[in-house]
Amino acid sequence: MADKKVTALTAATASDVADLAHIITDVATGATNKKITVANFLNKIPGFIGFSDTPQTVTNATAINITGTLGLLVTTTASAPAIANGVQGQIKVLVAITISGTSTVTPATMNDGTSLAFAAAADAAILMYIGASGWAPISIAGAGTPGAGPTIA
Amino acid sequence: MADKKITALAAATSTTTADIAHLVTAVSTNPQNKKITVANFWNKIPGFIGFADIETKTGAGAISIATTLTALISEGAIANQLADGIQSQLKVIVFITDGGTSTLTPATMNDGTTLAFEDAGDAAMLMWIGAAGWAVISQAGPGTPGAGPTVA
Repeated sequence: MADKKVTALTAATASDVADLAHIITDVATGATNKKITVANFLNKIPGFIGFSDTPQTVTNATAINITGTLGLLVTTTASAPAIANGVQGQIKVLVAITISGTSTVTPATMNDGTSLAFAAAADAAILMYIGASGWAPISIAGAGTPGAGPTIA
Repeated sequence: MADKKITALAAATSTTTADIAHLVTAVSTNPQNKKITVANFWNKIPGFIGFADIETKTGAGAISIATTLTALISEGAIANQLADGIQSQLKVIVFITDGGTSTLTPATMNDGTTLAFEDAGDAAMLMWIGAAGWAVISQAGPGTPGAGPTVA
């Protein structure tokens, strides 16, 4: 194959576990070009996972975005922010920061429910978009006794 | 080094935070080839994370450890199993259709033996923590706070 810029290559818009990426290992001691499968790259993450996108401050009924990971809920009055459908397997984290009126988060499509009511600061939920069934709460948490957190209705 | 196809390179089967990957930045304005450490790649993910794989499991039997997400459907009281995973693997299980309780029994489970999914919407997130087995790190379900699968 003739030399070609990476930007000139055909674009993959998703990857398969068997796909290969280029990686350089042993950087400090004896740098070596290697290939690695996407499976090995993703299944053995060597450090923590962090998100650098700016968290969205969701004030009152502002729509919750589906482009960022973290939404920070702030209310000055009872509100019902909406969240649109996501993409397969997408994870969304919502944390109530300041609550002066319950924030009733209402997904466009929700698995076995219609809303999550964040009634207290520190209420938090992790949602995963599981396909046609919609957003599924896979974790809820809150301050105080075990079992605290947003109420799913 | 002579030109070599990526497929001809020696294979790495895991990475370290100091390893380097190839990245093309500023794609739409001024594409530039750059290196990036694996640490910076994972520690500063610029968007959300999604998992393209999903298993829809209907009825009794083993739940996949090859996919992140399993959507579980019961057609009566059923027993499901989960084999051992690999270090720090995450597994998400959402009970989407309740035709009877699904009792999930991991092959190895930290401080417990089963999770009972009794109501549609019950969900759990497990992490494989090594020799101690699958640890339940999150439970959720519809209704009052604290709802979700019962760990026993």
